[in-house]
Amino acid sequence: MSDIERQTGQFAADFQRVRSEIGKVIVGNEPIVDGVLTCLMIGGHVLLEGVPGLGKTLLVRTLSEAVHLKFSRIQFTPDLMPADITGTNILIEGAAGQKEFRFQAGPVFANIVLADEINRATPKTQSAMLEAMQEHSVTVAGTLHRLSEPFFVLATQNPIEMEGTYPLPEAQLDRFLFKLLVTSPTFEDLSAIVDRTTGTPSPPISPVLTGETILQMRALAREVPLAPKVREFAIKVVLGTHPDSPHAPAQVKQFVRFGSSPRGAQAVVTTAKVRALLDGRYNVALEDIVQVAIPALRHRLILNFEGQAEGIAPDTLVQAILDRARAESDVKIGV
Amino acid sequence: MSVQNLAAGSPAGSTGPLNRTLAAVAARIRALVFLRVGSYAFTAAALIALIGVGLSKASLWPEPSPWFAGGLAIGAIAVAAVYALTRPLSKLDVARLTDRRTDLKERLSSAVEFQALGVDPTAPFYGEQMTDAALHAAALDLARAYPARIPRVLWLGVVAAAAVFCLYFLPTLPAFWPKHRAAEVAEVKRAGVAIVKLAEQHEKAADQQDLKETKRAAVEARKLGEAMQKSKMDKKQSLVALQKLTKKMEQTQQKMAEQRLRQMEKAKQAGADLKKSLQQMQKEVEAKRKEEEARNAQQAKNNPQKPGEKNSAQTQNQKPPQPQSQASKQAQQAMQQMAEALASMDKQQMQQAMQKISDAMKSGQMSKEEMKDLQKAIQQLSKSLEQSGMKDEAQQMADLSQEMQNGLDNLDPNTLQKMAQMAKNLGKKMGGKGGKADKDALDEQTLEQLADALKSGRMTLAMGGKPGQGGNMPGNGFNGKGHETSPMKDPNKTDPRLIAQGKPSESKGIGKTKSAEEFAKYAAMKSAPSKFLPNGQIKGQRSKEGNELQQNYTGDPEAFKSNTPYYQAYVSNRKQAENSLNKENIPAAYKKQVRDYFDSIKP
Repeated sequence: MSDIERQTGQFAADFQRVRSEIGKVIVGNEPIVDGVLTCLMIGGHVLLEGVPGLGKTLLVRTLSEAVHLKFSRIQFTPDLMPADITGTNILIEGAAGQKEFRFQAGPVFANIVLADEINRATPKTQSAMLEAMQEHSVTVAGTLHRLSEPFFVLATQNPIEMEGTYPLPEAQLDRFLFKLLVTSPTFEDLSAIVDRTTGTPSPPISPVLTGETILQMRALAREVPLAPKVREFAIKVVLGTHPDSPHAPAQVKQFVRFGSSPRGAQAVVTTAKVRALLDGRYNVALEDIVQVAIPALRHRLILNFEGQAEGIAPDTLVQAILDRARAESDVKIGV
Repeated sequence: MSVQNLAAGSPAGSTGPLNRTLAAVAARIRALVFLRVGSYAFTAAALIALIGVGLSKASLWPEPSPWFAGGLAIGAIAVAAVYALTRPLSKLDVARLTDRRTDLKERLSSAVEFQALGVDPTAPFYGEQMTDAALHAAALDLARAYPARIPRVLWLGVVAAAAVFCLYFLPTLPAFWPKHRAAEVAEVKRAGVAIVKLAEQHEKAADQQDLKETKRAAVEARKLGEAMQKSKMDKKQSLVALQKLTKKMEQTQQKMAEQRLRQMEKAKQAGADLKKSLQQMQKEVEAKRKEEEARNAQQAKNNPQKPGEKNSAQTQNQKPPQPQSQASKQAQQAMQQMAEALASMDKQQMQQAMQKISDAMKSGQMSKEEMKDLQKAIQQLSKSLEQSGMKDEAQQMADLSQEMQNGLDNLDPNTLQKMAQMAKNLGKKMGGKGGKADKDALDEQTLEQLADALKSGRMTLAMGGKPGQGGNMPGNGFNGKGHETSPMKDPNKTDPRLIAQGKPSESKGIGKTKSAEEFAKYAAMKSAPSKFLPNGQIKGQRSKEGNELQQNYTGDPEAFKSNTPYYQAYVSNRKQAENSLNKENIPAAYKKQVRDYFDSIKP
């Protein structure tokens, strides 16, 4: 067995172990759990959207318990200030009576950051996350402070209580690798939730991964080769989100104002690589692209007025893009 | 090869199984493309053919040849094959399609692309990827990935092709023949049986008598008869073939006759030459005799002999010339007769002449000089015989001449008897039958009989097996004898309507004198207007001068004695046929057959 084969096997096993640990607490929502873990393994941030009470926060908290990583939670409120997140320089009096400014790190200085109800904070505060999310650093009073790796932000937002909220700006949204929609549990899932939460306490969660392991997994995932045809497909999908692109389907031309940035393509490809590894493959398949395209692109489509007025779901548009790209990539031999 | 085996034994990045599998997949894809495209093409061709045949059956379109329909189908399949074989099919396309069909999740196509990019197969992930692709390729079940399903449209094509086949070939089966066709085939078969019988008879006779041309013609006729017997030819083809055969036989016969004529001319010339040389020889003998007589007379005058005086020694040596013996005269006459017989190729006369020569020799009356003259004449005769083509006889005659020359010094009775016997035998041989000339004549005659019989049979076949309608019909079938038929055997019972309708077998269609005049006379007597034929009533009129009676009538012409010259009938009918061929949409094969027919009967 080659080293790569061993590492790939280990990758899938580690992934499975974390998933199992989370599964001790979280019932159902496997796609959401997989999505969150995928982003963790590739180094992207996740935006979880769902009505209250669906276990978004619990999921993140459980994840933090399943790994040996520093976790912090920021509850976003309208009066939350950027410094409350990033930290600030405070005046400290030393033992000799001298006074100095010392940086007091904010909650963002953690490995896993839960930005709960992120849309309740003002855009100013929201944008405080931009640098941390993109550069993995925080600049306070001209001083750059590196965040420890791995740095992983999980933000949640409530789509229904829109009063007193500040929708995330496009630039902010673009920083999230995935936007995952947490849906209501099914009958079976709800039954299990009831059983678990109203009876004896759930078994404790054991941390199964270290930060170092996660970083190794990230490095391994990025090495998965991407065949030109698959890359072409991914690019066509991303370009298909632009209304002026020849690859865009009619719905996109009609309802979309702006499509995905290159970050969308990066998101699609990198997360597809994780999927390939989880499937025990050494190459990315079109199916991987298809599976990750919706969570990776749904928050990167900016609908035009007609789209908003019609209540067009971005998922529908991404699905149309995928269908078209799939049809274009089909081999027509006549057998 | 199982996945485990390959994994255990193959090096990292080995793409051999992958390439082999992809080659096999490409071949299978081409086969499936051929099956699919070929099915559509075949169905289209079959439908086109079906429409064409259907339209032709509805008389809206000329019937396409079966070869056209078959060629269309084969052409369509060939086009499909060419398309399937030449269709661009890259390795990547094959891999991608296989990935899609077998849910291999781009394993094969990625490996092909990495191969094409020339990545290092030992590089991390690439080597593993290629090995993984090779493993999956080796474990691929081609039949499952690319099942050979017969396209539904092919069934439609098969049904259409079957329909075309039925429309073409069912009518050729005896069970589906119309009555007239069945009757025609039966008629051709009967004719074939008769021809075979006739040919076998002639073949046997030819074998017995060693008649080469007859044998050859009989063999050809038998083959033709067998083909007709086996229904390999329809009536038209049989008639044309018969016509060709009889024409060929006539040509052979003509050639033989010409050859015989040439031989006769040679013989005539040889006879004339012989006669002339005999006359010359006779003259020379006469001149010599006269000269000798004159010399003797002169001597007698110069030396008159007294009565009672014996001849002196001088006179004793000079004998007076002997008068020509009777036998010599007979021999001379016989030679003259031989010359005439040779000129006319009269073998009886030749035999008689040789008998006379033999008798003359045997009589022993001929002097040595006369025998010498006869020997010269026979030598000359030998040359003439050779000139006229009777080489055997010429040789024997030369032998006789040589024998005579050898025996001139000793003309004893035995020698003369021997020479006479030789002459007699030679005469018998010349007069007897069985020579080449006789054989050729017999061959020609037998061939003529066979040709006549076949011609007669052809006529009967052409007329649908019916007997002739009056006149002296040349034949009734292939017996070559013919029989006389006439509607005029019993004028009192003759009904012109029946005759005009071509029903000579009816009792009223019989006449006595067989003449058209009698029929016309009879028809004029009973000139009741016909209910069936517009020209059934026969009218007569006088010419302007009033001395010539013209009668126009429709009735039974004397069979095979047409008033219209053959070449005229040929030209007009050929022209008419050509017009029809040019105007109407007639299949090329039938056009050719009609043209062949007219070519074969060209005067």
